[in-house]
Parts: sequence; structure tokens; C-alpha cells
Amino acid sequence: MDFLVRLHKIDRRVMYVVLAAVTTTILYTTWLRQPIEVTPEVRKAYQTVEHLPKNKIVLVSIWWGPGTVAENRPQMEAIVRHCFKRGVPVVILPWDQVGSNLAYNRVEQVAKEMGKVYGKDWAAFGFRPAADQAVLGLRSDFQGTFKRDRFNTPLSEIPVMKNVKNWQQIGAIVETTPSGTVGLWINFIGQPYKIPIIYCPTGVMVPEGYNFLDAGQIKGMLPGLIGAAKYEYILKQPGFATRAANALSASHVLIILLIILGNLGYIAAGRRENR
Amino acid sequence: MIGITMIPAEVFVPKSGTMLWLLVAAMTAVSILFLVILTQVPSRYRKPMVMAATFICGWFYLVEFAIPSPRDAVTANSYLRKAEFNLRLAEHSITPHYGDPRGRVDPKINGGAERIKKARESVDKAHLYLSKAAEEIARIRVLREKDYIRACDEAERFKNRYGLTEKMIERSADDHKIIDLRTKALKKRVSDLGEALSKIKENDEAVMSAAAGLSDSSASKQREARDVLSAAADGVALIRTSISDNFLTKYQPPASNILSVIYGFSIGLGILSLMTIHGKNIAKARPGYYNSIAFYAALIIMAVAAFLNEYWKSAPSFVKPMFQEVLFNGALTSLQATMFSLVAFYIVSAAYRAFRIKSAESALMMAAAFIVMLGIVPVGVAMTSGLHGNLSWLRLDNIQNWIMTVPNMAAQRGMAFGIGVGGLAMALRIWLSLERGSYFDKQM
Repeated sequence: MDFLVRLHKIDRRVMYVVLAAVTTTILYTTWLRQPIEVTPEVRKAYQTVEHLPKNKIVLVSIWWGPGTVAENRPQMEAIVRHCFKRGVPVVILPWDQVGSNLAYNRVEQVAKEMGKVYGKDWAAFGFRPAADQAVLGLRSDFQGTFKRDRFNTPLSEIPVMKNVKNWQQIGAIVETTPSGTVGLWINFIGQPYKIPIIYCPTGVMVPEGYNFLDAGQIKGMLPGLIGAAKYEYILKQPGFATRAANALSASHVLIILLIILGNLGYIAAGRRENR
Repeated sequence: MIGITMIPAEVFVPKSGTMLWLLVAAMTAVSILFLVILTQVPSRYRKPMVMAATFICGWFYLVEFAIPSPRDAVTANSYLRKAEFNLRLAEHSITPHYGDPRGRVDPKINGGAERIKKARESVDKAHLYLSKAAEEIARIRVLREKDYIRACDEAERFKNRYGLTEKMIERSADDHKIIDLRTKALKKRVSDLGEALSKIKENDEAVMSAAAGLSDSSASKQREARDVLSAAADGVALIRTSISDNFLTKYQPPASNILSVIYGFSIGLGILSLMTIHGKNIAKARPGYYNSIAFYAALIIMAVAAFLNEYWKSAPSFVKPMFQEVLFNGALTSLQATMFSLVAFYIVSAAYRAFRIKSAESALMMAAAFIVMLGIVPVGVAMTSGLHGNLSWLRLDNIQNWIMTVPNMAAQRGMAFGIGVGGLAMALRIWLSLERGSYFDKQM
């Protein structure tokens, strides 16, 4: 009984150490494979990219920074890989100062791996403040709103960008974000011009994403890290997200175990008090 | 009516050189003067001024939103709206529900035959409305073409009368300072209507091809038909947008530019406010004043480094990467990542302490949390992957999906409506200047 009561008050430092140990071990266990079930929202996202025209750009909006890099970067990477695979041009559009570099570096690596050339197959902007004004502006005058890429090259000199004049040359928006920013694209681009939006939120933002999905305001969703793992699974290119999904499984199981232990302790302590 | 401005546009919008810098200096002076005047104006006059400015801005957006479309497009719009509705209805009718086997609407079960029949009827109605919309748009296009030809003649007579040269027109064409507003607007209208006609034709063809596929009950054909119907509905909605711009729509970009300028002021004001607060902390050596010193150090170092990185052209080769690697990638990135990573540990600790079965409600919440947490990760899928056929709904991933797409969505929508109504009330208070603000000492 004493043992059960002690479960009621496990030292939080013990929990921290166990969590760190479990996730780190699983993350680096490369042989572990678990079944992945592709859910409708991820399949819709895949289908959307699969049907994109090759003469229109995909705008990958980057709102994330180092804080959520573990969730948002794999989402971005999975979709960028798919676009590159299909030959759809990708344009990175960062709204976060630090995320700008993180996203660019990763896409550059992916592009090298897949033999894609900057300027011809993809392009990237530097950090851009006042997102709402920029989104409003790009609808009617893309070149006037952005003018130059992250290397200060005029858009008219970048092959992939020179013909992008307004919303009509945008094939899809991929919103990778840790917060509720998707409304901006829905209001100003998705709804008025019916440009498909793929929403890639972090895990905590997923519940509200189902509203937009059900209303048809977004065409697909990659719910958190697990969404990226599912996308990698459809693409048949397991990467970081697939490994991290195992670590996520382990941490969820650990949390559930701790909750069960805590409740056992709580019940035991209650019984002891009643006596 | 023909609107023409005689002054060349370059006078107003210099692109480079001394004129540009003069303009920047003049605008800065005007901005400072404006702020000084605003702060010096007595409160009783200041309030009505701000109220009037806020009200006019809000009024512009409200009127732009409220004017539905040019009068000539009302009938066509109505047909297009009906066509879109029927296309969405058809798509919905052949969307499989829970219980439909292998992701398709089976004519033999769950009222599948009825749903397919309804989809066919909706597609037929959509086709009919699209045809009517096309006829209407063709009719108004002919009328606008006649107007355009008349307006061209009038414009030509005007140019000849006042001796305007082609060069004068060309020079300012980019900035729209010398334009024949009516002719240009009519030309665009004719072109928009022509495009709308061809788009209607394209969408109608797609709809008819989808209608042919409705008789096939295989999952892949049904998915194909749904995709086509969905795309066609989106296309029809887009046609409505393209013919519905009103006369105020074109003034939205300038209004946005004004907003950008105000945002710029607000960022400067924010920095100024932070500097004032932390400056006072340091001057009075308040408890924790060293945090304020850290703020100043970070602000100055990052700002100076960013400016030097941009403008110090002759910097030694090791300096610029140092800014990037040490300050940005080394310090800022690591600090942000560390801060967020700590959340994972707090979540574990908080979940352990908070999830206690103290009532029926807390038990229900815990059960839902367990299902969602397990159902969303691979281990949960593995645990119940053996359940097939009639028992497949008991799989954790299926129950998790149901929780997220039904009860969760209902709750989220309820909250979204509540927040929306609250936001509307708040917007009205701001628009009508009823809100108490730091700029005013009391509620107006």
C-alpha cells in the first residue's frame, strides 16, 4: 500500500530524466518500425500536391522558428520533396527571421539531393514583416510586393519567378506554422481565388484545423510531426519524421503510464485517509 | 465621364536619386509634424479627429464589402451561385460515410442508389444554371463592348481637343496618373466577361464528364468524380469573384499601404516603450534591473550587427560569418529551441498531476485523452490493427479520428462562433471609438 501511495507523488525530476532517456533512445533506434495508418487529411494533402499544375508555383509559408523546428521542418521537407519529385516549382516565403535561414538551409539540402537548381526549380525570399499586407499585395502585384529574393536578385532575373505576376500563377499555399495564421491565407487567397491551401500546424493547433478541413477551406492537413511521418510514408521516403514518430509513440505511452500510476496512487491515498 | 490628370507622374513618385531622398525627408518631416500636432491638440478636439479617421477607414472597408457586384452581373451571379451550390451538393451526395465499405457509395446499401440519383439530379441542375449564366454573361458582354467602343471615340475626341501627346500618356501610364478611367474600366470589364465565359465552358465540360462517371460505382471513379465536382465548384466560385469586383475594390491596395505605414509607426512605438520601461528600471536600480541591462545589450548588439552585416562592405572576411554564426545561429536559435523544448517536460509533469479521476467528467476527459494520444501515434495503430470488418470501428485510430472530426469539431466551432461574435463586438467598439485606450484617459 505504501508503494502505491508513493506513486501519488513521483518527483518531477525523475519524470524529466525518464522522458529524456526514453525519447533519446527511441529516436536513435533506427531498426524500430511501427505501422503507419495514413489518415484522410494527409491523403487529401498528398492528392492536392499530386494534382498541382507544373507551370504554377507552390508558396511554402514559413512561420516557424527554432522552437517548433522539430515539427514544422519535417512537414515542409516532406511536401517540398513531393513537389520536387513532380517537378512543381517551390518558393519559400518566410515570416520568421530565424526560420528563414532554417527553412532555406534544409530546402537547399533537399534540392541538392534531388538535383534541383536554385532559380530554375525553386526560389526563396528573405524574412518579410507585415505578412497581412504582403499577402494582400501579392494577390494583384507579386513582383511589386516582393521585388527581390533573399540574395537581393530582382525577381525578373529569376527564371522560376519572372512570370509570377499575381495570384493566377500560384498553384497552392503550404502553410507551415506553430500558431493560428492559416486564416490569413484562407481569407485573402484561399476563399476569394480558390487556391488550395495545405495546412501544416504543430500538434497543439491540430484540433482547430479540422474545422477548416471540413468546411473545404483547406484542402489537406499534416497534423504535427505525425502528419509529416504519414506523408513520408505515402511518399515512400522515410526520414526524420518517421523516426521521431516512434519517439512520439514512446513519450505518449510514458505519459499514459504516468497518469495511470498517479491515479493508482491517488486512489490508494484516498483509501488510506478514509481508514 | 473621362478622368485625366495633366501632371506627369514622376513628380509624385520618384524612383531614385535626389528627388527620392527629398521625398523621404519631406515625408519624415510631415510625419513628425503630424505627431507633434496630434499630441498638442487639446483632448476635446483630438478625440473627434481620431474618431473621424477611424470611422472613415472602417466605413471604406464596410462599403467595399457591402457593395455586392456591378449591377450588370447580378443575374449571372445568382445563376452561378445556384450552380456552385448544386455542384457541392452533388459532391456531398457521393462522399462515402462511416459504414460505406471501401471508401465508396455502394448503390446496394446505406441508401447509396438514392444518393447517386440525387448527385445526378444536382449535376443536371448545375449544368442548367451554368448554361443560363453563360447566356446572361454573353448578353452583358455585347452591351459592354458597345459601351467600350463609344467610350474610345469620346476619349479620342478629348485627347485631340486638348492636344495630349502619346508620349505624355506613355510616360505616366505605369503609375496610372494619366488614364482614361472609363475606357480602361470598360476594356477590363469586356475582357473579364470574356474570360468568365470561357471558364464557364471549361467547368461545364468537366461537370458533364463527372456526370458520366457517376454511373460507375467503383471507389476510384467516384473519387475522380468528386475531385472534378469539387474543382468545378471552386472554379464557378472564382468566376463569380472575377465578375464581381466593385468600383471600390481597386482602392484596396492604397488603403493597405496606409496600414503598412501605421504598422511601421507601431513597431517604432513598441521599441520606444520597451526602452523607456527598462531605462527607468536601470536608472532607479529596481529589483531585477540586470535583466533590463540584458535587454539593452541584446537590442543594441543585434541591431548593430544586423546593420553592419548589411552595410559594412569592407568588413574583414571573418566578421560577417561571425555575426551570423555566433549571434543568430549560435545564440538566438539555440535559446529559442531550448525555451520551447522545456514545454515537453512541463507537459509530462502537468499531465501526471492534473489528470486525476475526481469526477465522472474528469474520467471522460481522461478516456478521450488516452484514445487520442494512442490513436494518433503508430503504437496505438499497432495495438488494434487486428480488428477488421464490422469491428474496424473499434480501432483506436478510427475512434480517435471520430473524436477529432465530430465532438472536437463541434466544440471548436462553438468556440469559433463565440470568439467571432466577441471579435465583431470588439471591432465595432474600436470602429466607433467606444474603446478605452491608452491614448485617451477615459472612455469616450
